[in-house]
Amino acid sequence: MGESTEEKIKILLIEDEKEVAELYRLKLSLDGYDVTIAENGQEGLDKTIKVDPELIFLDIKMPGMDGFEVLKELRASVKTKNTPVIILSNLDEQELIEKGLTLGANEYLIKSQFTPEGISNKIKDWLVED
Amino acid sequence: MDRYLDRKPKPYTPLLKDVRKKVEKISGFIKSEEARMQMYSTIVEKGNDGILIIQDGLLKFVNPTLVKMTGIAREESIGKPFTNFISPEFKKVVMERYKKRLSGKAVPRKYEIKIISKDGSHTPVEINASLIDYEGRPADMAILRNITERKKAEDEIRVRASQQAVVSELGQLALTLTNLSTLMNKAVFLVAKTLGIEYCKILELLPDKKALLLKAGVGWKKGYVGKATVDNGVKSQAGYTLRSKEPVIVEDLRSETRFHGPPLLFKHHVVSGMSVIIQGKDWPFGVLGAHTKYARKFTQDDIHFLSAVASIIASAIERKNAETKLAEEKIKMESIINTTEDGLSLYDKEGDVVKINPSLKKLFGVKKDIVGVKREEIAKNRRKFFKYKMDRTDDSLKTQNEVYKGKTLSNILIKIYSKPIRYLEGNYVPVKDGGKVVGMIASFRDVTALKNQAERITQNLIEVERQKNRWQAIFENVEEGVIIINRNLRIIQANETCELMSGYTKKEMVGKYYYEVFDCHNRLGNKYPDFNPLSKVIVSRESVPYDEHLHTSRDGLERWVGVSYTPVFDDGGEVDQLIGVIRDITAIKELERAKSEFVSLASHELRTPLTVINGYLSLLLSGDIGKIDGEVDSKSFMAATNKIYGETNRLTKLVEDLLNVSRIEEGRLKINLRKAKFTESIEEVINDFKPIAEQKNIKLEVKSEFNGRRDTVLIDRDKIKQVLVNLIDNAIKYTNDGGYIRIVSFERDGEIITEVLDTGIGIHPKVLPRVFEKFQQAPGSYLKENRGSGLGLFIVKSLVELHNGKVLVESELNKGSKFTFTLPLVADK
Repeated sequence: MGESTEEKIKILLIEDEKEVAELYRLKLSLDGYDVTIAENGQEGLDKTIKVDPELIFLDIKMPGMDGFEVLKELRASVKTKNTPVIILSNLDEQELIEKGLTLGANEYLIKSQFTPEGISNKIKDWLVED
Repeated sequence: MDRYLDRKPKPYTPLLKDVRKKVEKISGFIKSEEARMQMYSTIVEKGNDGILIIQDGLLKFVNPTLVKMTGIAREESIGKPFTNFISPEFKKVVMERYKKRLSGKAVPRKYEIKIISKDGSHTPVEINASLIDYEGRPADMAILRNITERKKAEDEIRVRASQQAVVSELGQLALTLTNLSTLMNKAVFLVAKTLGIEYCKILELLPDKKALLLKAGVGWKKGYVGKATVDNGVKSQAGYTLRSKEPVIVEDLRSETRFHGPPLLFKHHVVSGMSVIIQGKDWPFGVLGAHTKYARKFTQDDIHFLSAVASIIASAIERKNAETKLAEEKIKMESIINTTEDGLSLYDKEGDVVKINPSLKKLFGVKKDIVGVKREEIAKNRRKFFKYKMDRTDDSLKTQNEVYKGKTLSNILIKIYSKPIRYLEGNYVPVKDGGKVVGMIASFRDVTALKNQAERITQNLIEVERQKNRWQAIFENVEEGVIIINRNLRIIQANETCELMSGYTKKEMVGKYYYEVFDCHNRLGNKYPDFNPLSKVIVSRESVPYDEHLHTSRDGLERWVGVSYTPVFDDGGEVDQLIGVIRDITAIKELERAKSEFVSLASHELRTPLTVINGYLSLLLSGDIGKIDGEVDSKSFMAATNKIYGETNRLTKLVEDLLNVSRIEEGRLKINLRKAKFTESIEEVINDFKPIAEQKNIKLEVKSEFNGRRDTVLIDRDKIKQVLVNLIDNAIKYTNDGGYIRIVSFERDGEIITEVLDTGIGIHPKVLPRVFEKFQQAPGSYLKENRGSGLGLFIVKSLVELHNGKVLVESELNKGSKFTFTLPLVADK
C-alpha cells in the first residue's frame, strides 16, 4: 500500500453524509491515498482547484449544488475535463445513472452495493494507465 | 203584373144611341116633310154610318159611307146577294134574322157582325136592322156602324183581363205548387193560349252558360222540349235578351238585324215573337219566349204580361231553390247531428231539453229519454238519467246561467266514470234570436285520447327535459373535460371543465381546431400534425379507451391529460363526430412523480445507514480496523461499533416513520388517550435531545408558561412525544452549529399551544404551504434536499389532528422557522 507520503495519490471525496465520508476516508487513507473531503458541491469545486485531485468521488444528492451540477462544472473546466470522476450515490434510478454518464462521469457506483474496499479498488481501475 | 191592373180600359161609348138621339133632336126642329126628306137624304148620303137596303136577299141600296167603309163600289154590290159581303161566321145568323124579320117575327134589331171589305179584311160592325117599305114592297134597311176601334178596345180589355187572370193564376200556382216543371208547363201553356200564339218556351241557362236548354214549352215539335238547346251567343234571341237585360220584341225574325233567329225558331217558321229574362236573385235563370209564325206586333202590354209571368217563374224558382237548399241543409244538419261523434243537446228558452243526438246518449250513458226534462232537474239527479257518474270542472248550473245571459263557455272538462274512464270537453253556446237568448246548445267532445296523449306527451316532455337536464348536468359538472369534435377536428361543444383545462371559454372553443385549443404533445415534445391522437380514431374508426399526453394550455401551463376518444358514426357508418373525455391528470402525474421520488428518496435514505453499517462491518471483518498487529484494538473497534449503532438507530427511526405513514394512510394508527401533564412530556423529549443539541453547539431552551396552572391534557403520550421529537429533530437538523432553538408552551382559550422555534435555514416560500403534506417536495429538487424522508411533518400533522389539535408553520428563509401545534386542554374536574 502507501510507499511514500510525498507520492500519495490525491483523492477528492465530495460527500455531504458525514458518516459515509468518514467511512470512505478511513478506508482510502488506510489504502494510502491522500483523501480530501468536501461536504457540499461548492466546497467540492473549491477543493478541486485547491487540491488538484487525481480522482474525484462525487455524491449526487447534496444540499445546494447537486452532484450533476458539480460534474457539469468539472467537465467544463479545462483543468478537470479529464479528471476521472466516479459518482458514488445511493440513488439507483436508471435515469440518473444515464444522466451521470452522459454528463461525463467515468462511472456511476451505488454505494450500498460496494464495500469500502470495492470502492478503493475502483481507483486503481482508473489510474493504472497513468 | 201591377201595371196590368192599373191600366183599366177606356169606357166604351155607344155611338149609335148618340146618332139616334141626334136624329130625333133634329127631326123635332124640322117641320116640313120636304125639309125632313132633305134632312134624311143628307144623313143617308153624308152620315157616319153605312146604310144599306136589302130586298129579296139582294142589295138594293148602299150609301157612300158604306162604300167608303168597305171599298166596294156601289155598282159592284147593288143587285148582289147581301150575304156575299158578310163574314162567313155571321152569314147564318144574319140570314135567319133577315128571314124572320120579313115574316114579321120579332128578332133583335141590333147586333154585331163582321163584313168583308174589298181587300178581304173583315170589319166589325154594329148592325141596326129594320123593316121598311121600299118601292112598295117590304125591304130590310140596315144601318152599319164601324166598330173596329171599339172592338179593339174591347179585345184589349179582354186580353188584358185574361192575361191578368193568367198572371194571378200562375202567381197562385207558384206559391202553392211544389213541382217547378208543372208550373213551367202551365205557364207556357197559358201564355200561348192567352196571347193566341203557337209557341211559348222557357229556356234555362245551363251551368256552363254557353247554351240554354228548352226546359218547358208548347207548340214545339215532339222531342224538342227537355232536349233542344239554344246557343247563348250574341246571335241568338235568347242570348241577346240575356245580354240586353231588356225585353225583346221581334216583329219579323227573317228581317231581324240585332241577331239571327236560332235554328229552333226557324225550324218552326217563327216570324214574330218576344222574349224576357227570367231573372233569378243572383243570376238569370233563363229566358221566357213567346213566338208565332204569323206576323204580329206585340204590344208593351204583351211584354208586361210576359215579364209578369217571367217574374212569377223566377220567384217560383227562387222559392224552390231556397226550399231545396233549406231541405238539403235540414237533411245535412240532421245527418250531422245524428252521425257526429260529438254529443249534442239543445235546450229551449226554459232550459228544457229539446233534442239530443245518439252520441250524447252514448257518451253520458243516457238511461231514459230526457227530451222535455229540465236541465236543472237532470243536473240535480244525474244518476237517475245517466248510467255513468261524472265530475265536472265547472258548476253545471252556474254555467247554464251564464250561457242564458248570453255567454259562450268552452273547454269545460267532464270526467265520465265509464269503463274505461273518458274525458269530455263541453262547450255551451247560447241560441239567440235578435239578441235575446232563446235557448242553448251544448256540445261534448270525447277528448280522452287527446287528454291521454297530452298527458303522455307532457310526461314524455318532462322526462326528456329531465333526461336532458341530467345529461346537461353531467356534461357540465363532470370533472372530466367533455368535448365534441367534428371529423374536421373542429370543436362543436365543450363543457366547463374544458374551459378550466384549456383557458378558452366555451364560446371561444366552438369552431376552433381541437389542437389549437388543446396544444397536445407527447413526452418527446412532438406536436400536431406529427402527434395526432384524434386521427387515429378517425382512421381506425375505433375508440381510444385511454391515452396520456401533455398539453399546454392558453396560459402556457403544461398539463398531463388522460384522454379517451370515442367516434360517433353517421348514418353512412362514417365517423361523424368524436367525443373526447379529457381528464387533467397533472396532479396524479405529480403524485406519481412524488411517489417515485419518495421511493427513490426512501431507498436512498435506507441505503445510507446501511452503507455505513455495511462499510464498518466489512472493515472490521477484513481487519482493516479494530486490530493492531492481530490484536483487538478496542479503541477503533468501539469507534466503529458506535458508528454502526448510530446508523442502526437512524435506520430504525426511518423504518418507524415509514410504517407510521402507512398506518396513518390506512387509518390503522390508533391513539391511546390518557390524562397527562403536558410539561412532563416535553421534559422527557428535551432530555433525549440535549446531547445532540450540545454536539451541534445549539442552544436548546424550554419555556413553560403555565405558572403552576393546570397543564393536564388528554393525550397519547408516545404520539405527542413523537410530534415533539420530529419537530425538534428537524429544528436541530436545519439549524446550523451555534444556532438557537426554543420550545415554548402555554395555555390560551382552552388549548395548550406549543411553539418550536429555530434559527435555521428556513423553508422556501414555495414549499411552505405544502410542508405538512407527504411526498411534497418541489419537483426536481429532491436531489438537493437535506437528509430525511419528507415524512416527519406529515406524521406531526396527522398525530396532532388525531388529538383534535392543529399545526401551523411560519418561516423565513435563512432566518428560521416556527412550528406551532395545539392540543385541547381537559376541562376541570
